[in-house]
Amino acid sequence: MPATYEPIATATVASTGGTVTFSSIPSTYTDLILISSARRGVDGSGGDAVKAQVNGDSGSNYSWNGISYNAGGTGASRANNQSIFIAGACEDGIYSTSICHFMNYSNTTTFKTMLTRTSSTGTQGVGTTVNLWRSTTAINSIFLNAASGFYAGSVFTLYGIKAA
Amino acid sequence: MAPILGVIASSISPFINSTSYESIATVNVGSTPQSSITFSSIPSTYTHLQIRCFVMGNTGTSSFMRFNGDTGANYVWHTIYGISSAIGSNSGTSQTGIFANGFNEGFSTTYPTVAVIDILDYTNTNKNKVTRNLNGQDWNSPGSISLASGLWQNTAAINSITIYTSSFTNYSSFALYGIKG
Repeated sequence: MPATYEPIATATVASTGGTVTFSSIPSTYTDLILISSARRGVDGSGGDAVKAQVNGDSGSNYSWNGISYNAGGTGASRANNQSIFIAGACEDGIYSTSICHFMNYSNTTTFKTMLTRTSSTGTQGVGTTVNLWRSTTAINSIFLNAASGFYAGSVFTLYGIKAA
Repeated sequence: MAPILGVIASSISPFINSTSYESIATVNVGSTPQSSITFSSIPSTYTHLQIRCFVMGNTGTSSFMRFNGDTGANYVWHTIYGISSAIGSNSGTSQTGIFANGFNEGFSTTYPTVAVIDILDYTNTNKNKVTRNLNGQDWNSPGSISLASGLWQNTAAINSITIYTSSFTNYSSFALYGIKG
Protein backbone atom coordinates (compact mmCIF):
# COMPACT_ATOMS: atom_id res chain seq x y z
CA MET A 1 0.00 0.00 0.00
CA PRO A 2 1.39 3.47 -0.88
CA ALA A 3 2.66 5.43 2.09
CA THR A 4 0.00 7.67 3.60
CA TYR A 5 2.03 9.66 6.10
CA GLU A 6 5.38 10.62 4.62
CA PRO A 7 8.23 12.85 5.66
CA ILE A 8 8.81 15.51 3.02
CA ALA A 9 11.74 17.45 4.47
CA THR A 10 13.58 18.28 7.66
CA ALA A 11 15.34 21.54 8.41
CA THR A 12 17.75 21.89 11.32
CA VAL A 13 18.92 25.37 12.23
CA ALA A 14 22.70 25.35 12.09
CA SER A 15 23.44 28.87 13.30
CA THR A 16 21.58 30.73 16.01
CA GLY A 17 19.42 33.48 14.57
CA GLY A 18 18.50 31.55 11.43
CA THR A 19 15.13 31.16 9.79
CA VAL A 20 13.66 28.20 7.89
CA THR A 21 12.04 27.84 4.49
CA PHE A 22 10.41 24.77 3.01
CA SER A 23 10.15 25.31 -0.71
CA SER A 24 8.90 23.36 -3.73
CA ILE A 25 6.38 21.51 -1.54
CA PRO A 26 4.76 18.84 -3.71
CA SER A 27 1.02 19.19 -4.28
CA THR A 28 0.39 15.46 -4.20
CA TYR A 29 -0.74 15.22 -0.57
CA THR A 30 -4.03 16.13 1.09
CA ASP A 31 -2.75 17.70 4.29
CA LEU A 32 0.64 18.81 5.59
CA ILE A 33 1.88 18.47 9.15
CA LEU A 34 4.71 20.60 10.49
CA ILE A 35 6.34 19.39 13.69
CA SER A 36 8.67 21.80 15.45
CA SER A 37 11.16 21.56 18.23
CA ALA A 38 12.09 25.21 18.42
CA ARG A 39 14.00 27.53 20.70
CA ARG A 40 14.16 31.28 20.24
CA GLY A 41 17.48 32.66 19.07
CA VAL A 42 18.34 34.62 22.20
CA ASP A 43 19.43 33.68 25.69
CA GLY A 44 16.83 35.64 27.55
CA SER A 45 13.72 35.02 29.60
CA GLY A 46 11.04 35.50 27.00
CA GLY A 47 9.64 33.70 24.01
CA ASP A 48 7.73 34.13 20.80
CA ALA A 49 5.44 32.37 18.44
CA VAL A 50 6.84 30.46 15.49
CA LYS A 51 5.60 32.91 12.89
CA ALA A 52 4.84 31.62 9.43
CA GLN A 53 4.11 32.85 5.95
CA VAL A 54 3.24 30.75 2.93
CA ASN A 55 4.10 31.20 -0.72
CA GLY A 56 6.11 34.30 0.09
CA ASP A 57 2.95 36.20 0.99
CA SER A 58 3.88 38.96 3.43
CA GLY A 59 0.62 40.84 2.95
CA SER A 60 -2.10 41.27 5.56
CA ASN A 61 -3.81 38.10 4.45
CA TYR A 62 -3.67 36.04 7.62
CA SER A 63 -5.78 35.90 10.77
CA TRP A 64 -6.05 33.66 13.82
CA ASN A 65 -7.94 32.79 16.95
CA GLY A 66 -6.30 30.99 19.86
CA ILE A 67 -6.53 29.88 23.47
CA SER A 68 -3.60 29.41 25.81
CA TYR A 69 -2.36 29.04 29.33
CA ASN A 70 1.04 30.55 30.01
CA ALA A 71 2.91 32.61 32.58
CA GLY A 72 0.36 35.36 32.11
CA GLY A 73 -2.60 33.10 32.84
CA THR A 74 -5.43 31.69 30.75
CA GLY A 75 -6.86 33.55 27.82
CA ALA A 76 -8.10 33.74 24.28
CA SER A 77 -6.89 36.04 21.56
CA ARG A 78 -7.54 36.81 17.96
CA ALA A 79 -6.01 38.99 15.29
CA ASN A 80 -7.31 40.05 11.88
CA ASN A 81 -5.44 41.10 8.75
CA GLN A 82 -2.02 39.99 9.90
CA SER A 83 1.19 39.49 7.90
CA ILE A 84 1.97 36.16 9.60
CA PHE A 85 0.18 33.23 11.20
CA ILE A 86 1.00 31.09 14.24
CA ALA A 87 2.70 27.77 13.44
CA GLY A 88 4.14 27.03 16.88
CA ALA A 89 5.96 28.40 19.90
CA CYS A 90 9.57 28.94 20.91
CA GLU A 91 10.92 29.96 24.29
CA ASP A 92 14.27 31.31 25.40
CA GLY A 93 16.55 28.63 26.81
CA ILE A 94 14.36 25.58 26.08
CA TYR A 95 13.02 23.77 23.01
CA SER A 96 9.25 23.86 22.70
CA THR A 97 7.23 21.30 20.78
CA SER A 98 4.50 22.26 18.34
CA ILE A 99 2.42 20.68 15.64
CA CYS A 100 0.70 22.57 12.83
CA HIS A 101 -1.82 20.94 10.51
CA PHE A 102 -2.22 22.49 7.06
CA MET A 103 -5.63 21.19 6.04
CA ASN A 104 -6.37 20.63 2.35
CA TYR A 105 -3.33 22.74 1.51
CA SER A 106 -3.17 21.96 -2.19
CA ASN A 107 -6.74 22.69 -3.22
CA THR A 108 -7.22 25.71 -5.45
CA THR A 109 -10.85 26.46 -4.65
CA THR A 110 -10.95 27.44 -0.97
CA PHE A 111 -9.05 29.54 1.54
CA LYS A 112 -6.51 27.69 3.68
CA THR A 113 -6.97 26.86 7.36
CA MET A 114 -4.24 25.67 9.73
CA LEU A 115 -4.56 24.19 13.23
CA THR A 116 -1.65 24.61 15.64
CA ARG A 117 -0.99 23.06 19.05
CA THR A 118 1.89 24.21 21.18
CA SER A 119 3.50 22.68 24.25
CA SER A 120 5.87 24.93 26.06
CA THR A 121 6.55 26.47 29.43
CA GLY A 122 7.11 30.07 30.34
CA THR A 123 5.82 32.87 28.21
CA GLN A 124 4.23 30.76 25.49
CA GLY A 125 2.78 27.92 27.58
CA VAL A 126 0.28 25.45 26.21
CA GLY A 127 -2.21 26.45 23.60
CA THR A 128 -3.96 25.93 20.34
CA THR A 129 -4.67 28.28 17.44
CA VAL A 130 -6.72 28.22 14.27
CA ASN A 131 -5.24 30.23 11.42
CA LEU A 132 -6.61 31.44 8.08
CA TRP A 133 -4.76 32.37 4.91
CA ARG A 134 -7.15 34.19 2.61
CA SER A 135 -5.96 32.73 -0.64
CA THR A 136 -7.18 29.89 -2.86
CA THR A 137 -3.66 29.21 -4.11
CA ALA A 138 -2.11 25.86 -3.27
CA ILE A 139 0.59 26.15 -0.62
CA ASN A 140 4.01 25.44 -2.12
CA SER A 141 6.35 27.07 0.41
CA ILE A 142 6.43 27.78 4.13
CA PHE A 143 8.68 30.38 5.78
CA LEU A 144 9.25 30.21 9.53
CA ASN A 145 10.73 32.87 11.76
CA ALA A 146 10.61 34.29 15.27
CA ALA A 147 11.85 37.45 16.93
CA SER A 148 15.66 36.94 16.89
CA GLY A 149 15.26 33.84 14.76
CA PHE A 150 15.75 30.31 16.04
CA TYR A 151 18.46 28.82 18.21
CA ALA A 152 20.90 26.36 16.67
CA GLY A 153 19.53 22.86 16.96
CA SER A 154 15.90 23.86 16.38
CA VAL A 155 14.36 21.23 14.13
CA PHE A 156 11.36 21.48 11.82
CA THR A 157 9.97 18.45 9.99
CA LEU A 158 7.31 18.60 7.31
CA TYR A 159 5.11 15.57 6.61
CA GLY A 160 2.52 14.91 3.94
CA ILE A 161 -0.72 12.97 4.51
CA LYS A 162 -2.52 11.53 1.54
CA ALA A 163 -6.17 10.60 1.68
CA ALA A 164 -7.58 7.75 -0.33
CA MET B 1 19.57 36.75 9.09
CA ALA B 2 20.28 34.23 6.37
CA PRO B 3 17.48 31.88 5.38
CA ILE B 4 18.13 28.23 5.79
CA LEU B 5 16.72 26.07 3.08
CA GLY B 6 14.88 22.93 3.92
CA VAL B 7 16.39 19.81 2.46
CA ILE B 8 14.57 16.82 1.11
CA ALA B 9 14.91 13.95 3.54
CA SER B 10 17.34 11.42 2.19
CA SER B 11 15.67 8.54 3.94
CA ILE B 12 12.41 7.67 5.59
CA SER B 13 12.30 8.79 9.20
CA PRO B 14 12.95 5.85 11.52
CA PHE B 15 10.04 7.05 13.63
CA ILE B 16 7.48 6.75 10.86
CA ASN B 17 6.44 3.31 9.70
CA SER B 18 4.77 4.05 6.40
CA THR B 19 2.27 1.19 6.86
CA SER B 20 1.18 2.16 10.39
CA TYR B 21 -0.97 5.10 9.33
CA GLU B 22 -3.25 4.20 6.45
CA SER B 23 -6.00 5.93 4.55
CA ILE B 24 -9.25 3.95 4.89
CA ALA B 25 -11.78 6.08 3.03
CA THR B 26 -12.57 9.64 2.00
CA VAL B 27 -15.96 11.26 1.51
CA ASN B 28 -16.06 14.37 -0.64
CA VAL B 29 -19.20 16.48 -0.84
CA GLY B 30 -20.00 17.69 -4.32
CA SER B 31 -22.34 20.30 -5.68
CA THR B 32 -25.38 18.74 -3.98
CA PRO B 33 -25.32 19.55 -0.25
CA GLN B 34 -25.52 16.69 2.22
CA SER B 35 -26.81 16.68 5.76
CA SER B 36 -24.54 13.81 6.77
CA ILE B 37 -21.66 11.62 5.74
CA THR B 38 -21.05 8.05 6.85
CA PHE B 39 -18.04 5.78 7.01
CA SER B 40 -19.38 2.24 7.09
CA SER B 41 -17.84 -1.24 7.27
CA ILE B 42 -14.82 0.16 9.07
CA PRO B 43 -12.24 -2.62 9.30
CA SER B 44 -11.33 -3.82 12.78
CA THR B 45 -7.66 -4.30 11.93
CA TYR B 46 -6.40 -0.98 13.31
CA THR B 47 -5.87 0.22 16.87
CA HIS B 48 -6.98 3.83 16.52
CA LEU B 49 -8.83 5.94 14.00
CA GLN B 50 -8.36 9.52 12.93
CA ILE B 51 -10.82 11.65 10.98
CA ARG B 52 -9.52 14.77 9.28
CA CYS B 53 -12.38 17.11 8.40
CA PHE B 54 -12.40 20.04 5.99
CA VAL B 55 -15.89 21.48 6.04
CA MET B 56 -17.78 24.03 4.03
CA GLY B 57 -21.44 24.66 4.82
CA ASN B 58 -24.26 27.14 5.01
CA THR B 59 -25.65 26.49 8.43
CA GLY B 60 -25.27 28.16 11.77
CA THR B 61 -25.32 24.89 13.66
CA SER B 62 -22.47 22.64 14.69
CA SER B 63 -21.90 19.13 13.44
CA PHE B 64 -22.07 16.03 15.59
CA MET B 65 -20.90 12.45 15.36
CA ARG B 66 -22.53 9.10 16.03
CA PHE B 67 -21.27 5.54 16.04
CA ASN B 68 -22.79 2.31 14.74
CA GLY B 69 -26.05 4.05 13.95
CA ASP B 70 -26.74 4.72 17.63
CA THR B 71 -29.17 7.64 17.77
CA GLY B 72 -29.87 7.23 21.47
CA ALA B 73 -28.89 9.61 24.26
CA ASN B 74 -25.65 7.73 24.83
CA TYR B 75 -23.07 10.42 24.21
CA VAL B 76 -21.25 12.96 26.34
CA TRP B 77 -18.91 15.75 25.26
CA HIS B 78 -16.84 18.53 26.80
CA THR B 79 -15.01 21.41 25.22
CA ILE B 80 -12.83 24.38 26.06
CA TYR B 81 -12.93 27.08 23.47
CA GLY B 82 -11.90 30.53 22.44
CA ILE B 83 -14.32 32.72 20.53
CA SER B 84 -12.49 35.89 19.55
CA SER B 85 -11.02 37.08 22.87
CA ALA B 86 -13.42 35.16 25.10
CA ILE B 87 -12.43 31.83 26.60
CA GLY B 88 -14.98 29.40 27.90
CA SER B 89 -16.14 25.85 28.29
CA ASN B 90 -19.22 23.84 27.47
CA SER B 91 -20.50 20.32 27.77
CA GLY B 92 -23.37 18.05 26.92
CA THR B 93 -24.52 14.93 28.76
CA SER B 94 -27.04 12.34 27.62
CA GLN B 95 -26.69 13.66 24.10
CA THR B 96 -27.65 11.99 20.83
CA GLY B 97 -24.21 12.75 19.33
CA ILE B 98 -20.69 13.95 20.11
CA PHE B 99 -19.75 17.50 19.08
CA ALA B 100 -17.57 17.29 15.94
CA ASN B 101 -16.91 20.81 14.63
CA GLY B 102 -18.33 24.22 13.78
CA PHE B 103 -18.50 25.25 17.40
CA ASN B 104 -19.76 28.79 17.42
CA GLU B 105 -20.58 30.13 13.98
CA GLY B 106 -21.55 26.88 12.34
CA PHE B 107 -20.16 26.71 8.81
CA SER B 108 -19.44 29.01 5.88
CA THR B 109 -19.24 28.51 2.13
CA THR B 110 -16.25 30.89 2.09
CA TYR B 111 -14.18 30.02 5.15
CA PRO B 112 -13.28 26.40 5.92
CA THR B 113 -13.94 24.77 9.27
CA VAL B 114 -11.45 22.06 10.12
CA ALA B 115 -11.08 19.31 12.68
CA VAL B 116 -8.73 16.49 13.57
CA ILE B 117 -10.62 13.85 15.53
CA ASP B 118 -8.92 10.88 17.18
CA ILE B 119 -10.88 7.80 18.22
CA LEU B 120 -8.70 5.71 20.45
CA ASP B 121 -8.92 1.94 20.91
CA TYR B 122 -12.04 1.82 18.75
CA THR B 123 -12.23 -1.98 18.53
CA ASN B 124 -11.79 -2.70 22.23
CA THR B 125 -14.95 -4.37 23.53
CA ASN B 126 -13.99 -3.83 27.16
CA LYS B 127 -14.11 -0.04 27.04
CA ASN B 128 -16.52 2.73 26.29
CA LYS B 129 -15.21 4.78 23.39
CA VAL B 130 -13.49 8.15 23.81
CA THR B 131 -12.69 10.78 21.21
CA ARG B 132 -10.25 13.67 21.15
CA ASN B 133 -10.98 16.62 18.90
CA LEU B 134 -9.04 19.70 17.80
CA ASN B 135 -11.19 21.95 15.67
CA GLY B 136 -11.54 25.54 14.58
CA GLN B 137 -12.49 28.10 12.03
CA ASP B 138 -11.35 31.62 11.32
CA TRP B 139 -13.36 34.06 9.24
CA ASN B 140 -10.98 37.02 9.69
CA SER B 141 -13.41 37.85 12.51
CA PRO B 142 -15.06 36.10 14.02
CA GLY B 143 -13.32 32.85 14.74
CA SER B 144 -13.37 29.99 17.19
CA ILE B 145 -10.93 27.34 18.35
CA SER B 146 -11.91 24.36 20.43
CA LEU B 147 -10.41 21.35 22.15
CA ALA B 148 -13.07 18.76 22.80
CA SER B 149 -13.50 15.27 24.21
CA GLY B 150 -16.32 12.87 23.59
CA LEU B 151 -17.65 9.67 25.11
CA TRP B 152 -19.84 6.99 23.57
CA GLN B 153 -21.26 4.95 26.42
CA ASN B 154 -21.00 1.66 24.61
CA THR B 155 -18.31 -1.03 24.59
CA ALA B 156 -19.07 -2.25 21.08
CA ALA B 157 -16.35 -2.03 18.48
CA ILE B 158 -16.96 0.92 16.19
CA ASN B 159 -17.80 -0.16 12.66
CA SER B 160 -19.51 2.95 11.34
CA ILE B 161 -19.23 6.69 11.92
CA THR B 162 -21.78 9.30 10.88
CA ILE B 163 -21.10 13.03 11.01
CA TYR B 164 -24.17 15.19 10.58
CA THR B 165 -25.41 18.76 10.49
CA SER B 166 -28.04 20.53 8.47
CA SER B 167 -25.89 21.10 5.39
CA PHE B 168 -22.38 20.22 4.28
CA THR B 169 -21.67 21.94 0.97
CA ASN B 170 -19.35 21.64 -2.01
CA TYR B 171 -15.64 21.03 -1.34
CA SER B 172 -16.25 19.53 2.10
CA SER B 173 -14.01 16.53 2.67
CA PHE B 174 -13.88 13.92 5.42
CA ALA B 175 -10.92 11.55 5.46
CA LEU B 176 -10.73 8.47 7.70
CA TYR B 177 -7.36 6.99 8.63
CA GLY B 178 -6.41 3.88 10.57
CA ILE B 179 -3.44 3.69 12.90
CA LYS B 180 -1.92 0.35 13.78
CA GLY B 181 -0.52 -0.25 17.24
